[in-house]
Amino acid sequence: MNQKLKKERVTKIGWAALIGFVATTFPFMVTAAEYEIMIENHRFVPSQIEVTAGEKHRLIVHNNDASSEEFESYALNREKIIVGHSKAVIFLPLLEPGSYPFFGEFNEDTAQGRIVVK
Amino acid sequence: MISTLIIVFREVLEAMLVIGIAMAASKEIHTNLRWIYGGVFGGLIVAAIVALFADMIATSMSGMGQEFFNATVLISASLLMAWTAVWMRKHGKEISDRIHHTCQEVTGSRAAKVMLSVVVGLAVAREGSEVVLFLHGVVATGESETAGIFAGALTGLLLGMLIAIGLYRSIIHIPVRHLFSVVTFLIALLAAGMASQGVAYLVMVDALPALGQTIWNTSNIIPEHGVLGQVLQALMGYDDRPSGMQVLTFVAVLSIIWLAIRIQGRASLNSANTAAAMMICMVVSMVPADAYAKKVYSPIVEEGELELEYFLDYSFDSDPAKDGSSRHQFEFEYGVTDRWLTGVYGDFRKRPGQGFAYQGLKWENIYQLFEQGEHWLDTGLYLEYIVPKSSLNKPDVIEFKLLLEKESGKVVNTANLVLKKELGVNATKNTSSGYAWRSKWRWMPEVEAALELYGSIGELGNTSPLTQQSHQAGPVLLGKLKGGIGYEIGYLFGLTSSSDEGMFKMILSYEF
Repeated sequence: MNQKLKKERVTKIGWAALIGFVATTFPFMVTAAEYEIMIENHRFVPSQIEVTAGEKHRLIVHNNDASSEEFESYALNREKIIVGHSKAVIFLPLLEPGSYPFFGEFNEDTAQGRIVVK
Repeated sequence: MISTLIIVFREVLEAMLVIGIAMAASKEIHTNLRWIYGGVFGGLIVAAIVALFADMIATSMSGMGQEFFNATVLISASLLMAWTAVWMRKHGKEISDRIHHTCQEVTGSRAAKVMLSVVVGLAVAREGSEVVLFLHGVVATGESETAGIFAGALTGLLLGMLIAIGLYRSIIHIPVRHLFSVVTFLIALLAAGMASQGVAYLVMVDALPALGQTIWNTSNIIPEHGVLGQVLQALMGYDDRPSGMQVLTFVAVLSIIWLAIRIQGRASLNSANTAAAMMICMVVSMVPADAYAKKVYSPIVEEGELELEYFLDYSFDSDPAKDGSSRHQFEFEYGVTDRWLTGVYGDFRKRPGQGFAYQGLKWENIYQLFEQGEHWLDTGLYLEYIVPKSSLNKPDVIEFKLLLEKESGKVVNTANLVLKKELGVNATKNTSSGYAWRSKWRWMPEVEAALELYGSIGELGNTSPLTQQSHQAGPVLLGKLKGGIGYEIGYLFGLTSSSDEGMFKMILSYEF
């Protein structure tokens, strides 16, 4: 086919791909269950949270301390800085049953916790 | 037969010494011997793989590749041992005091176990590979009787093990209160010896200045090729006619370790690691170097992250114009917000037969689009602007990459789709495209294994035939060690006739 039709076809495919990509990603935002954790005096409260396996969950971490903290977990593959007196959303990956520890990197001795997946 | 005996004896002794010292060290920090055995086993597997590919490896290493490979392995092992010595000195007492504690293991002690395991694995792999390649070479020349060779090898093996076991037994009979210091001292000696041996290889191929060919000659007192000489060589890299650079390196490594141990505390550990990392960079950067940065970029940005990185790509090829060329990049990057990372690179190349040449500057930016895990694919945009050195008369380049990442349990897959455009007067090519891919298994923070692929497809709308495209793939080992040091080390095999037949890649990073 000639150059003009070829270009039109590429453009149509491009749009279809973009719409497809957006359509498949947005539904995931809606089904997440929320869990809240506070950071108080360099500790996570609660320090243990139970969630169900195979579902998309998210954590909302409220930092009630004045200093910032870094929520870190190798098992969860997440690292996020939460500035003092603010909050952050951490989208958890789909998890198999087990125990996933996390810690606050700036106050490792006291800021410890874990997510237990059942 | 005697030469085979001596060489196998020395290799076995070196490996057994590392294993013996690691075992004594693991006793001190009350760790399971399982980790040491794991390292030995892993090392033996690598040596077996080398045996299978002996022919191919021997030819690809012809020329100077062998020396650079040896030097890199030796210096990496030296770095690891140096770190182990300093870490152990700092934490050993803490851990033996906590022996009654029944709670979870100290994360730090796990790092030490891994470290000992990796050091042992590397030692066994290296010694095993050397023995394999040496035996392969001797048998291939057909000079000596095969019976004599194997008799020599077996005797060397037994003799090496005997002496190593003897040394180990005498080590563990030292009173406990001194044992720790003795073990640390031995590890430090080993590290200094390995570093100076590695440096010797680099001096041999003119990658480093000798600083005096023969500082002293003790060949009539303790000949290098005698039994005692070989023991000392295994223990601390003894050379009866060392060059100035070897002596300097030996003293430097020993001093850095001693200093780091003296100034206890977190800051000192970092500075020891930094010093060691810089030493590696300094040594390796003088190694004689072309190619795109072999790094697969993740779309995830960490706010406030301040990092220094060193990239090395070293090519092997039967084409002498490509063989031995290398690319070195130094980068400084900063996570400005939790979405935007920016960095600056300095690019250097070394082509065979030429010197180390500055190529230009690069400014890179990564923008993370969504929160990690928010959507099915983590996505980011990468934009880079390259300003070449003006005397090269090369065009400015703008490079765009779509960064995609997906975690699935312990496996993370990352894809980079690349578009490159030359700008300005010197531009010759149209927009060209390429890709990079990595499948990574997240075993533990210090050690992760991955398979990486890289390719350039050519100009859009005018793609080159497959044989003219460059495609490479290979295994990579990566991780982040305590103290902020990160590493990536791998070997990429060329998949098409235009690709470099082999490419060694290494990335070292230090996070402040």
